Parts: sequence; structure tokens; C-alpha cells
Amino acid sequence: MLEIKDLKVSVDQKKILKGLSLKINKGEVHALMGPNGSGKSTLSYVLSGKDNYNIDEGSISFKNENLLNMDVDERANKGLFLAFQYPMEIPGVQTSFFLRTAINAKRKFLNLPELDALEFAKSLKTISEDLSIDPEILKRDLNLNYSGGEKKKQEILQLSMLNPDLAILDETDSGLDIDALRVVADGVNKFRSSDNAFLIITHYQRLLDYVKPDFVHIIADGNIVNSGDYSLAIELEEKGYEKMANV
Amino acid sequence: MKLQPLVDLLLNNNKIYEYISLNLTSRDPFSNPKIENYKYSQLNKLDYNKSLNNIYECDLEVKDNFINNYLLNKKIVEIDKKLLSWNFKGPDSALRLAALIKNPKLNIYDLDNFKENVCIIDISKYEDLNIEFNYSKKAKLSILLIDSDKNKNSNPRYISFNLSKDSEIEILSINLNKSISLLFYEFNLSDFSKVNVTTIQANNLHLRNEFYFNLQSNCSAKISGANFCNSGVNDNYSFMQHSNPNSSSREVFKSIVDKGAITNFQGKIYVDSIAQKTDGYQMSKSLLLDDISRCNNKPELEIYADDVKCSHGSTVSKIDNDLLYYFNSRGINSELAINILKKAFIKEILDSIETLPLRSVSDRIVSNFLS
Repeated sequence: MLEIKDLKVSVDQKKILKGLSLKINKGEVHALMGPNGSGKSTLSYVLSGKDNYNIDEGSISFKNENLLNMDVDERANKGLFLAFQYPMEIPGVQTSFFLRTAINAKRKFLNLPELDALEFAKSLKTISEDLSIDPEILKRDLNLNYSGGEKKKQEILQLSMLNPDLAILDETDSGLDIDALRVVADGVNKFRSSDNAFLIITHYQRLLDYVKPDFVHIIADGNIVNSGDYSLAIELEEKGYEKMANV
Repeated sequence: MKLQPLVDLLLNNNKIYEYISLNLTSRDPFSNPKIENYKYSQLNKLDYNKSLNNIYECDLEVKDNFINNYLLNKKIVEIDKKLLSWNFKGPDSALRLAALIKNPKLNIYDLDNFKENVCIIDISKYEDLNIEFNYSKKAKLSILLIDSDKNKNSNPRYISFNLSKDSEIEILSINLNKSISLLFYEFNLSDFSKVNVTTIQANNLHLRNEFYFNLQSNCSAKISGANFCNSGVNDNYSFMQHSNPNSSSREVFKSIVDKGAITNFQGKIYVDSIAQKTDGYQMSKSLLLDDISRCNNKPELEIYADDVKCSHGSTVSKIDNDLLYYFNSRGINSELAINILKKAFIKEILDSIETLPLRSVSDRIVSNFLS
């Protein structure tokens, strides 16, 4: 589904990613762990297409197409979703309106008719109940004055509603209390299937206790330095990044 | 410098000149904040120092570019002297003067005769340019104020609303697609009266709206303005005069400026020395959609009482690239995202409309304009 080859990325002439390669197949959940400044979030922004990240070398193919040739909205409509570490607050735009607009943008891209209002409402009700999201919050402006946990749940709600092929969770666990973490993890597990894939970016093992990854990668100084299965995350928790990054 | 010298002069003569055309060859016929005397001044202040004796030769020297361009062609008309004795305590206004010169008559209408609680006033149906409406009922009256005249050039108009004790009106005023639109609004609020004005201005080339409020005790005034400006110069001025104690005012003006257009906003909250316990608030916000558009926002407070709560603020911003990226990352293209963000920007103005029929009119106009 996603193949990154020898990716070198710089920002303002500072090299951040230094030849990173990663392959994610359908049905797989990959965890990318690394210390601060190792390039985790840069990778997520590059994948989603954010401006100001210079691709110096390398390639990224998504569903056998060159991802780097696509605009941000095109990537999203083709099935790539980034759950933000710091979701944006949008005053004046109601949460449910934003969601419906996003779903209909994707349906338009796929030459499908707009989603019926009733169908949308039903689907929104079911998923938001699963995520313990207060229905009142959906009437409020998107992410405005939401707590940290509410914002992260909102990202998972969008993920579930937009039904992407590849979801990137950028430190979704940061700022979550234990209950919220469990709710978010349950949401991810419910959505997880053999048809989609996840790249979970995190500092800690705790989210991976709930969402068991098939592969764990350690990133340090712009490159993947170690890969393994879930046991690598446990080992990392015990030994710390400094030791594991030098393995 | 006050208008009084000119008024005195006019009262001592039977005739004045009527000035009938605007010169729009100038790029910027409206006010220029750089030439104003900043503190406690109006952008449109007149300077009669040099030319009082030569007014008939049209040697009126003004600092204001607007009136300077207005006073080009002239003819002699009779003037109703009663008109000049309007009990107007507000700031000097070149626009008010222009309305007065253009049509020196004031016609008074009684809004109490309306049977419905929502009505439409089409100012183009009134022959007279200067209109005064009186309202004294205790029931709330909601008014849609429009100008359906297809002529793109509107004459300067003076429109006044006088509210008696305990009365309440809500007004939605629409200015659309005019080459020139010049309106001076005056609201006189008696004790315990209430007014809520929302103004939507879109697609006008040269627009100038002036809002003057005079608040007596225990009354409240609210004005919310949405201005979509994509050509020419659009000016909005407000003067909120708290004359007596315990009155409150809320002003929010928002402009979306595009394609090299210019918007100016100047608003003053004026609190008289006896107007204790005044609660005043003013906010002006502009959203610039390109690098060549301009806005000049000038909030002012002038307070002579010592027990009041007054605040003001002003912001200028452009579309946030991070917000745009967030929309894009959800599959929403930039064009649609910008439209949504523009609607979101002025939502606060639309939300201020309380009467449902007026709200649906405003929603439709804004949707049409943004689609």
C-alpha cells in the first residue's frame, strides 16, 4: 500500500530525514517510535503533503501511484489520513458540518453522490457513541475549547467516518488520560481491518498495549535504525531510546 | 472645527448650492487616514477656516477626499431652514452634510402604523432622500431595510430612527452591488429602548456608511456589520454616544477584503460625563485575502465618566495556511475551504440577527455571495 524508498527531506536546508525506507502492506499496523527530533512528525507531514518540506531524494508510492505528485486534498481523497498531534481549532465551523463536507468531498472525488443527510446523521451517531463523544460537542465549532482528549477523539471520529486506506496517527496518545486512551484505542481497533493499514507514531509503549502493532520501528536521526515486532516496543520501554537507537 | 459656522451661514441665506455628481476618476475618493488629525478626530472632519466667506464660489476647502470629490458640480436650490435646525449632537459628518445639501427636506414617518411585527422598508420607494422613522410601541418591530433601486449610483441619504421609551427594533440593512452607496444612519434611543442593527454590504464599489447612535439611560444598542469588499473603497464609521447612565452598546464590524480593495473602519465610543455605568464594547476585524488589498481600522474611546466599562479591539489577518492545510488533509480543496473560512469569519455577524425571517434573508444573501 505504501512504499517509501531512501527518503531524504530537509526543512530550511536542515536535513531531517536521511534516507528512510519503509513498506506498509494492507492489513498491517506499523508503529514508529523515536526520541524527540528524530523525524517522526516530519515523516507524517511529508506523507500528508504539507508545504515547506523539501524532498531532496527518494520516492513514495501509495497504492502504486507517486504520492509526491499529489496535492494534499488528493492524497486524502485517495485514502490517506493523518490524525494530527495538535488538531486545529476552527472557529465558526460546526464539527458535524466539517465532517459532512469532508465526506462529500471524498465522495465527489470518487464520483459518488453526496451522502444523504439522514444516513450521515445515523453513521455519525453510531461512531460518536462508540467513541463516547457527547453529541452536543458535534454542534460546537470544530475543536474550539475542546479538551486535549476531546480533540484526539475528534480525530479518530474523522478517521472512522472518512474510512481511509492508510491512517497515520501522529502521537495521538499524547495528552490523553487512561480512559480516553482506551476509548481512542478501541476506536482504532474497531476500524482496523485486513483492507486498511496504520502507521502509529508514538513515544511510548502504552498505546501499543491496546493497539497491538505487527511491526515496530525505531527512528533516530532521520532514519529507521531498528525494526521488529511488538516485543521491540517492550524492550524499548525497558532500555530507553539511547541504547536501542544504537543497536 | 464644527459644522455650526456653515449652518449659521446657511441660515442667514435663502439659497445654497446643490452638488450633484461624484468624481470617481480618482482611485481613492474616500478618506485617507494619513492626512487626518489623529486623536479625537473624525476621518471626515471638514476645515472651513479659509473659506467661509467664499462658500458660494465653491471654495470650500476640505481635508476629506470624499467630500472634496463630491463638491464638484453645483446648482442653486432652495433650502428648508427647519432642516438646518436638526437637533443633531453627533460628530461632524461630511456625508450627513452631503445628504442635507443634496435634498434639503426631511420627511417623517410613523412606524407604529405597521400591523406586522416584521416589515420591509425599501428606501428607494421614498421620494425623499432624508427620512426619519419614529417608533413608540413596546412590541419589538423587525425591519428589513433595502434599496431596490437598480440605479447603481445612490444619492447620499440620511435615515433616522427615533425610539420612544421601552420600544425595541431590530434592523437588517442590505447594501448590494452599488457603484456608489452613501448612507448616514442616526439612531436616537430613549430610556429603556433597544436597537439591534445588522448591516450586510457586498460587492459595492464605493460605499460609505455612517452610524450614529445616541443612547439615553438604561437603553442598549447593538450593531454588527459584515462587509464583503472586492473592489473600490468601502468605509464604515460609527459613533456610539452614551449620553446618560446605565446604557450598553456592542459593535462588531467584520470585513473580507479581496482583489486590491480597501476598507476603512473608524468607530468611537463616546461616554458623556454623566453617563456612569456605561458598558461599551467595540471590535473590528478584517480578513485580507490577497497581498494587495488594504484595510484601515481605527477604534477609539472618548470617556468623560469615571465609572464605566468600555473596551475595544481590532485585528487584521489573512487565511491561516495551517487551517487550509487541515482542510486539505481532510480532502477539502482550497477553494471550498476558503469559502467555508469566509463564512465562518462572518458567522458571528449573522448570529447576531434574532428575527428568523431576517436571518434567513441574510443567510441566503451571504450564501449567494460566497458561492
